[in-house]
Amino acid sequence: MEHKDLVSKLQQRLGVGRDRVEAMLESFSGIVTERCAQMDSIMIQGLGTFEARKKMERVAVNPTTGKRMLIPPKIVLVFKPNNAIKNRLKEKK
Amino acid sequence: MNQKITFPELIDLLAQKQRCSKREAENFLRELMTLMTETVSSGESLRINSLGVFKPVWVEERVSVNVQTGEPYTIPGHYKLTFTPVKAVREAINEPFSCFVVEVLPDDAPCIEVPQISDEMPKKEVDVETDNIGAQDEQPVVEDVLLPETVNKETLAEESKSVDECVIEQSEEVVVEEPLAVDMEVAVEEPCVEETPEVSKPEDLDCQPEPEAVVATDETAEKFDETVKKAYRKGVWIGLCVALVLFLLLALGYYFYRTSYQSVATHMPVVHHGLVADTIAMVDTDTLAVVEPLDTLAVAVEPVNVAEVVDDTSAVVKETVNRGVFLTNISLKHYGHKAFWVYIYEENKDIIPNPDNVAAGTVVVIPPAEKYAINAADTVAINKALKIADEIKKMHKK
Repeated sequence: MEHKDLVSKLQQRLGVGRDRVEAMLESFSGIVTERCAQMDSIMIQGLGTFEARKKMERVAVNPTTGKRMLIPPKIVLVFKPNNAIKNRLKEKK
Repeated sequence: MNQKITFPELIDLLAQKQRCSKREAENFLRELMTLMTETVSSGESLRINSLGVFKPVWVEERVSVNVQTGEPYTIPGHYKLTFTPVKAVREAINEPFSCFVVEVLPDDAPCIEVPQISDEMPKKEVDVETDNIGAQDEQPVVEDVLLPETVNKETLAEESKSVDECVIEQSEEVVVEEPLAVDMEVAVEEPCVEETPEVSKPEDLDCQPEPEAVVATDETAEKFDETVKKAYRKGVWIGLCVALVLFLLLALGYYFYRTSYQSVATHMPVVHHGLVADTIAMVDTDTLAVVEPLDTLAVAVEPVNVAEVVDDTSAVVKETVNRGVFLTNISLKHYGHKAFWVYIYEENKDIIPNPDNVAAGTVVVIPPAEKYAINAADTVAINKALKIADEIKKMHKK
C-alpha cells in the first residue's frame, strides 16, 4: 500500500481532512525518529517495536575488485514485528 | 535513554506535538495501527513517506541443524517482514556516528584477517626477501641473517656511545667546564697525537677564564650537541628498523617451519613410499625456498628431511576420485584394463578402507605400470590381477 492509499483510508475512517492526516502521520514519524535517536524503543501493541541498534564496524570485501573496506560503526532503526504478525506472514505461501 | 515508550506515552507525545486533545491523538494512532497491522500481515507492502517502507520478503527454505539433537532439518521457505527507513530518518538516527566514512584499506594493511589471506602474505614477503638476497647465490640467507645482526650490534654500539657522549656533555654543561667537549670535537677532526696539548689548553683556559674562548667552546659544544642528538636519533631509528626486520624474519621462519612440518607430518602416516616422495617433492618445490631461510635462521631439522627424500623423488601420478568414479574406471583410464584396480588399491590401502566404496574427493596415487608389471595386452598379468581382486574381496567379506 502506498502512502497515498494509507492517507485516504485513514481519512475515511477518521472523517478528517487530508492535511490533518498528513500532519499527524508526519509528527508520528517525527516522534519515532526523535525517540529512537535517543536510543529509546517504541512499543506498539499489536504491531511491534521500533528501536535503534548499534552496528559494529567491520571489514567488507568488494567482490568485484577484491578491495577491503572498513565499514564504520553505525546506528540503524529497526522494526521488530510482533509475533502475531510474524506468524501470520510465515503461514502465507 | 534506553527507555521503553508504550502506547499511552506515544499518545501523549503526539497530542503534545500536534496540540490536539489526547482523544484525537489516540483515535488517530489506533486507526493507524490497526490499518498498518492489517496491511502488513496481509502480505502487502506499506509505505509511509516520512518513515519508511514495510515489506514482506520471501526467505528461501534452507537446511539447519536442531541444536538439541544435532539432527538436520529444513526450515521451510516463508515470508519475513522487513522495514527500511527513509533516508532522512536513517541519517537522523545515525547522527552521532555520521562523521565516519567508509575507508578503503590498503592491501598490505596489518590486520587480523582470515587465515587464508595471512597464509598468502608471508609467502610473498619471503619471496621478496629471497629475491633481494638472490644476488649472492650460494649461502644467501646466512649472510642475510648475519648482516642485520652485525649492523644491529654496530648501531647499538653507536647508540650507546652517543648516549654516553650525551650524558658526559650534559654533566659538563652543568659544571660549565667545556674542556672535554672541545677535546672530543678536535679529536674527531684531528689525529690523536694532538689530543694531549689540547686537553692541557682548555684546562689553562679554565684557570683564567677568557670570554672569547668560552664563547667559542660554547658554540662548538652546542653544534656538537646537535650533531650527536641527530646521530642518536638516526641510530635509534636504524636500530628499531633492523630489530623489526630481524623479528619479522624470525617470525616468518618459525611460521614456515611449523606449517611445512605439519604438512609433512599429516601426510606421512597416510601414505606409502612413493607418496612420501611425492608429498615431499611437493613440499620441496613449494616451500624449499621458504624452508631454507628459516632453518638457517632457527632450526636445522627440515633440510635433512627434504634432502633425504628429494633423492628418490619420481613423478607420481595422482587422481582425485569423484562421485560415481570407481577404482576400475581409474584403472581403465591409466592402464587400459579394469582388472588392474587392485594395484591402485594396494598402493592406497591406507586411505581406502573399502575398495567398493571410495569416498568422493579422495586423492589416490596411481603407481607406475612397471612397478606391478601391468600390461593390458598380457592375459597372464590380467589373470594375476583378477586373482588378487578375489583375495581382496574375500578379505572384505570377512
